[in-house]
Amino acid sequence: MNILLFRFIAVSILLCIIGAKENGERNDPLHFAMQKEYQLATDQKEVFSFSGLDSLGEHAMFLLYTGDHNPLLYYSNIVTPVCIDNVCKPMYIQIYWNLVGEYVGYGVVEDNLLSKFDHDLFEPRDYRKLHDLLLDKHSILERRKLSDLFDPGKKPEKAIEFNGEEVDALSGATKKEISESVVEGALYSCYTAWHLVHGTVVKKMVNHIDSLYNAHLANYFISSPYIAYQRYALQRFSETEYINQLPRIIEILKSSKPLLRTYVLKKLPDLAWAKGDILKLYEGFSNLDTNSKTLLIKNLSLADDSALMHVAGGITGVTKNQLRTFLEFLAEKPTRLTEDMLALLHAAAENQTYAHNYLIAEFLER
Amino acid sequence: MMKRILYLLGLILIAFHATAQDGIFLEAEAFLDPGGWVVDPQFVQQMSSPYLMAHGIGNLVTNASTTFDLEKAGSYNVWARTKNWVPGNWDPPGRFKVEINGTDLAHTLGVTPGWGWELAGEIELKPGSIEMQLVDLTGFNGRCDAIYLSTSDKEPPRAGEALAKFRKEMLQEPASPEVTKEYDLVITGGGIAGCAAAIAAAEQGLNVALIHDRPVLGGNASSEIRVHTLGIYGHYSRILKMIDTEHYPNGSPEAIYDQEKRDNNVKKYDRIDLHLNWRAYDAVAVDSTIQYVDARHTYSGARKRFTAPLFLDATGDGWIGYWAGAEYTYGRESVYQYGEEWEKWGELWSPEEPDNFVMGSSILWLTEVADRPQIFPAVPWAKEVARDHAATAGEWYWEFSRNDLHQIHDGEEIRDHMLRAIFGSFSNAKADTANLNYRLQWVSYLLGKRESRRLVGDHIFTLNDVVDDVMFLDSVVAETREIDVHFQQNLQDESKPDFLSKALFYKTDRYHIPYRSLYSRNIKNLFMAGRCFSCSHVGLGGPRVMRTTGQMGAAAGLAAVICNRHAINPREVYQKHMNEYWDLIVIQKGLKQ
Ligand SMILES: Cc1cc2nc3c(=O)[nH]c(=O)nc-3n(C[C@H](O)[C@H](O)[C@H](O)COP(=O)(O)OP(=O)(O)OC[C@H]3O[C@@H](n4cnc5c(N)ncnc54)[C@H](O)[C@@H]3O)c2cc1C
Repeated sequence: MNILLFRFIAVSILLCIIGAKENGERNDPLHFAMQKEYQLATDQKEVFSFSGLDSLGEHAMFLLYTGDHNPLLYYSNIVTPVCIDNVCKPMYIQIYWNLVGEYVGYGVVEDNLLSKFDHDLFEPRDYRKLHDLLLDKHSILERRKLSDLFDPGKKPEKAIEFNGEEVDALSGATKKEISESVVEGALYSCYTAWHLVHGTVVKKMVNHIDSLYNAHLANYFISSPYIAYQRYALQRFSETEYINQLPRIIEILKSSKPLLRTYVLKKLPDLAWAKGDILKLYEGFSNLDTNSKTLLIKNLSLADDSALMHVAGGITGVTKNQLRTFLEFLAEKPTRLTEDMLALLHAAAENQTYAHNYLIAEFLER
Repeated sequence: MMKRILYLLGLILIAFHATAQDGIFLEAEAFLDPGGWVVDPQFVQQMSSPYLMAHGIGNLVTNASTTFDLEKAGSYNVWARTKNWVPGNWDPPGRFKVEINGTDLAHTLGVTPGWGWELAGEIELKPGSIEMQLVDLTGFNGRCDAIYLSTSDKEPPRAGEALAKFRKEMLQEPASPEVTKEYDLVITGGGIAGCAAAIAAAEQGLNVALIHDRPVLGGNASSEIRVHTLGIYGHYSRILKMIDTEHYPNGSPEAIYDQEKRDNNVKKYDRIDLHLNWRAYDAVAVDSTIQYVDARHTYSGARKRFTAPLFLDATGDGWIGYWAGAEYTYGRESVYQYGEEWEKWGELWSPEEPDNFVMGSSILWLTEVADRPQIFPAVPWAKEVARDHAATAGEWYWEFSRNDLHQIHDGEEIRDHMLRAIFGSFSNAKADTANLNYRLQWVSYLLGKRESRRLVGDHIFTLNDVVDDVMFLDSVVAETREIDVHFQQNLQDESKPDFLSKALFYKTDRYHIPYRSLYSRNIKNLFMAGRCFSCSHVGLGGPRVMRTTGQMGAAAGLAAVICNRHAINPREVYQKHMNEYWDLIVIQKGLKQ
């Protein structure tokens, strides 16, 4: 009880100091994962407040704007206590999130640079490491209580070893992996910052941007180079918007990650598959990830004949089940089997290094 | 080995080699001595038979051998049903030869893509006892399903119906099994769920058949797959402690001690008629009531029919339900179906459009450091999968799923992909001189599955039951472990190999699973326990761990006892006998064995 009271008082005092400092200047970020959008910010507005792990402290969240009032970034100038064994020190950090609530960068305050627990200042590589850690939504810090992360004074109940390395019972992560992802000597700061950046604040930003979302933002998002923005817009597009924006969507699909690509391919309205633009995707069929290929093959019945030719051209790069689907489709729609396609299939059937050539041979026999 | 040979000799009457007029058909899995080859019955439903596999993890395995009597002299063509399991621009990895009476037949086998017959060669044979051997040439998973000798040069049918018919004719098999046995409860699948069910029911006096397709019990928890059991015991700690595992790392050889414990504990029940190495292949329902389950011995080929008023599907893959016509689901539901959204993870957690992207299957493996340098053979055929990934240890996240793959139908392809991932990554690691002394100690050849068919019960357990902390009248299973759902790493980052996954953990308080998720909605006398219980894709995320599946097994086993007492169906336990059922559950902890 005493300890708790002590901690409460210590943190409260710290928070008083902090309250005064959070309104300070916004500096350019030290590390930033987008283009330099923060340079366009001429205006900012406080939009809500939030707390981190220590629910005692509230931080103000700002939305940064361009001169013509277009939202750019979320930003918060944070001073938060970092405590171990009831000894707390303030950490000063200026955090930037993109408009859909993902961490994108941070800056520091000149007189209050980040330091480790032994008071050594962060080295440049430590700053970089912190940025990388904060970018990782899946960090191994997520599921852990601070006290579970190798508290130096505490031995685990039963050390679990595997090939001579101590293994974390929860995730199989080794101590080495944990120490690889946090700044040495600054575990507590890293932990505090990660939970602040990825905590309940994310939901608040999403709710907030939802309330601002309009045609202008939709356009900004879909035109932007950022997957998170594209995804946000694509999740909200109507069928008509999918058709209207098809050229841009295809462009995005060509370069995006498989997760977004397969999401969109599953969602594309039937009408979109019949459009000429979709052929640009089929053109690159051979270079697409396997899961996307499955979806392109699955939708062949809606697409143009030249789509079929592109798939046939890349046939030795498809999996057994993809090949089966393709051949079943041709068996059902023999009129779509052209001479050129047949030639490609014959070549594939004779290709001894193609694992599934026998399926094509069987198909051709029939 | 001797024991096994004697046992096989006992079964020789129906043993799996047969002589018809113009040919001799030998099932490889029925060879009298498999030598270093393993019997693999995992993919019977896809490629038609258990087979022998030279799983030497890079070391040649000793020959498999058998003898048979030949009646007619002649010049015989000898075929083996096999396949090149990784066709490509390299020597096929699973090559082997056939030797007859000490003579090597001409052709190397395991060289043609897809399961089919390859000609091993031609040989002059005299009547009398013939000795045949399978000679492994690579140590890398050569496989042989059957051998056929004939004086004609007509190749047997390659696959499908024609092959099944041919096999039946050659083996002169009657339409149904020769032996029928009757029980109070027939349980198929001896994972933790099946074992718990068998114990719970047998302790209360039921005569139980436990049909399991492996030589040891425990499924994923067995020493053959080596996953440790997680979760809480609920009301069933006494039973589950007989069959669960310590918390060793997945893949640890310590699994062997828990294996002994489990096997001994189950075997001590006289009322459990344990059928190890028997794989069920059919279940027939009339008027929505299962009449029997048919099973086949995985290497002798003997068949048996199991009849009972009650059946329990603990196969993990929902096979009994599937054959009997029970409703089932497979795949990820649309997020809108049950409202199982987790906004933070969106599509990775639950997709807008339903799909088949379930959690994947794994092969666990283990290395050791020897006291001198170890050579690992070159594995060019594995590089396409492993790419430049290097590893000297595996873990649970070596897992494979893809949207065109079905975890049951494509099981062999998934297993083989994982073998390539492991051999390739290990080979890459060996290129580093720091790993010179590493060698593979153990690589499983059995797929550890996480998710496939889920049978549909009166209640479908979903994330909402967890989030809303629903306390059911029939909450017979309880769990506190978080819900975790996996996804493939290469969805987020294409540079990652396709065989690594990540887990998303959803923290929860204690939650409950109702009894109504443990029996089929439309098949009147079918229980299910284990990962094929009635749930959604996300709903399976928490309770698929093996103490929870064990709880389900125990709960279903006890419900069978109530059914047996009153000659009723599973549903009526919920409708009319919940008090009596609860009484039976709550006394479990204190019972003396
Ligand atoms: C790599 C990996 C890591 C995991 N990590 C954990 C963990 O740490 N802790 C945990 O508790 N769980 C873990 N799980 C999940 C858990 O192992 C599975 O959900 C498990 O399958 C549940 O047990 P079960 O009894 O339902 O099925 P299974 O263990 O699959 O048992 C079913 C058995 O039935 C047999 N069978 C199937 N069909 C037939 C048939 N027709 N005839 C006869 N027998 C048949 C099979 O051989 C199988 O052994 C993990 C899974 C994997 C793959």
